[in-house]
Amino acid sequence: MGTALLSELTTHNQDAVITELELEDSVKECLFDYGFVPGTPISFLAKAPFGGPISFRLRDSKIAIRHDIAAKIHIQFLS
Amino acid sequence: MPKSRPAVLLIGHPNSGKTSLFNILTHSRHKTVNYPGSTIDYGIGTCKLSFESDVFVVDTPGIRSLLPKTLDEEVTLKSLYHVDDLVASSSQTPDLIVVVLDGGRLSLQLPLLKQLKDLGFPLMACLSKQDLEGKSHALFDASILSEKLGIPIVPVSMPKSKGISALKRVMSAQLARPHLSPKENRQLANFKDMMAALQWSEEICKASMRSEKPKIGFDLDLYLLHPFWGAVGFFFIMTGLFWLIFAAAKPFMNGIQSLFSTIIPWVHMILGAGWFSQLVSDGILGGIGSVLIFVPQIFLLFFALGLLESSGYLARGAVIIDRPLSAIGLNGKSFVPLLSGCACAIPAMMAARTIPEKRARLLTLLMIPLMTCSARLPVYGLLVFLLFGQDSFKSGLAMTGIYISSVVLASVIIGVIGKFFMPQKNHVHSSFQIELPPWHLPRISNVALSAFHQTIGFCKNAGPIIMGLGVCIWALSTYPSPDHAYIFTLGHWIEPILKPMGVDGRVGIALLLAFAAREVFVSSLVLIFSAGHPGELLLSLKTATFLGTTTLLFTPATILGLIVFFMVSLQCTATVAIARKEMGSWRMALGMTAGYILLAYGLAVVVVQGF
Repeated sequence: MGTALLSELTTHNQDAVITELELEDSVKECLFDYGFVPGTPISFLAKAPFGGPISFRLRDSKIAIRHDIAAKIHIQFLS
Repeated sequence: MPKSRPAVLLIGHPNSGKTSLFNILTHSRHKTVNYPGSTIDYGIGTCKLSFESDVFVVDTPGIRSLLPKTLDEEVTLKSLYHVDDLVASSSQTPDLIVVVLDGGRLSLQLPLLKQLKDLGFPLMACLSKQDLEGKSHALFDASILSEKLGIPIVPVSMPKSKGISALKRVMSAQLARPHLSPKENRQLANFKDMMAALQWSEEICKASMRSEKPKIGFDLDLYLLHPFWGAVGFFFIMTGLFWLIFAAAKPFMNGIQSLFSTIIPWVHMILGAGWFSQLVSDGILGGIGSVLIFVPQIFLLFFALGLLESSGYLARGAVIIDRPLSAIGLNGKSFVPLLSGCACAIPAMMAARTIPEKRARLLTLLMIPLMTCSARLPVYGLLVFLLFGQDSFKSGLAMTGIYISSVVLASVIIGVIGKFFMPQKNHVHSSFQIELPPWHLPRISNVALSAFHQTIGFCKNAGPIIMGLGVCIWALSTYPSPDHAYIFTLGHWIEPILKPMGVDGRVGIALLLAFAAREVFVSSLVLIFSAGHPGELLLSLKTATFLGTTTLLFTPATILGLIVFFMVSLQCTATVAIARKEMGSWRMALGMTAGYILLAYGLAVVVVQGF
């Protein structure tokens, strides 16, 4: 059980839970609509070529967000 | 004034199946309408609910909440309170909203439904996408869900049109019930409410869950979004798409061309000699023909994009290309418009509406005219032929080189415009979030129908512009007499400007005519240099000299200069018109046009003089 940033979640089969979004309100609101809400389980799907957006699975869907956004979202690993 | 009918609004998250439902409900009677002042297309159709009652059905762009965040969400929200602007409805607000719920990802969608319900809209829902992989897994029990939410919910299966008659019955019943007008949409939710709403939603989902979502073992995304294989797949999929657009459209384009070359002399014969006959056959029919020739390509482009869209790949492509594009100020969502720009800039500019950031959208609109559109292909074809003759290997290599260098050149130009003319004001967080839809096998009939409607929309938009201009060019090249037409006079006037490009006034005329449509450059050169002997075209062009001298006109330097000119120059009036509409400013559209023409000229002169 440890805490990390979402951008550090880079392996499959490791589940985590979103704990905090350290972002301005407008971005936060946008992410809320996609289901990025504290308490939501999240897992890693893929990392795009050229250091591009990272894709995650959450709430039955797959969402890709940029690295700089993922680096502002705090998570807690689940054992 | 058309008879007023009740208005039914289809609302739901993006990709929840609204348009599929719309197509089923309205059969083939639907059309696309440009909502005035907006940037998004609504789908409007009528649906027969019972023997005596017809209703309007309005398909809306997907929204995620009632707090608008982007332009298209705002526009959808307008339809909630001003549906009478769209259809001849007796009330301002819709008589019924059908919320389309995607059974595959329900929990995220219920908060929107709750917001609509709290505002007092007459509401019902349909639960779609319950059947995964052909098997009918009812993930959720619609009756429990309906009881928990307090609104009627009908399960439907779109591919088989199952549950549609039940849906129509419930729609009739709901429309017959009196309802109060809904409240104004004020600040509805704050962050805590959203968290609470999602928690509430998850509890309801759990209570009405009938079976677990089956785990899918194999996931294409592990490969198509892979840091290495993703890039490889991207390359192969794009190549396939271009093959489809450029190769498959050819027979249809040739067919239309020969159809018109049969019709035009025939019309000429029937109407006899005189200016009227010439105006109809050359000016008007020629104008229509030059639009219609590109229709197969446009249809195939929409079709190919529709295939990619419904398969789910476009979202993956946008993810893969986001990083390279953001280096020059664009966005992953610029990918689709730029891709369309390789066939035609007009639909491409319309597609740019989906880009969330204003700056990235503008830069994309600026970059689209620099993509190698289909009208440039015959021009490059001729110029490469002049350079390498029949050598197909070198010619092929040259064409590839032209494609690649125009993408590179466009990136440099946009990078410079972005850095020096449109600097990022303050650091705002980059906005690129995209939901990756589940993979689907595309339904060909739906894709073809939607491509057909988009193509019709294109014709209605661009047709009048191209036709009107065709008549003008016809008049300029006909009066006062074909041998001493105004356009020749213009050619002599502009000759001094063309000297630095290494060409004379005759090529200048062809360049001038190319402003009607780029491919006109080729036919004009034929007309001017070989005077009706198309077989001698290349020979006469290869040996063409400046008037009264023995200096060769088409040297490698001047040919290269012309290629560079066509790469950058914006000669398409239809593109300027659509750019004005999409940028919302004549100044910007005309500034871009003038800028690209001057830059094209400057680069061509540099190439010719520096060679």
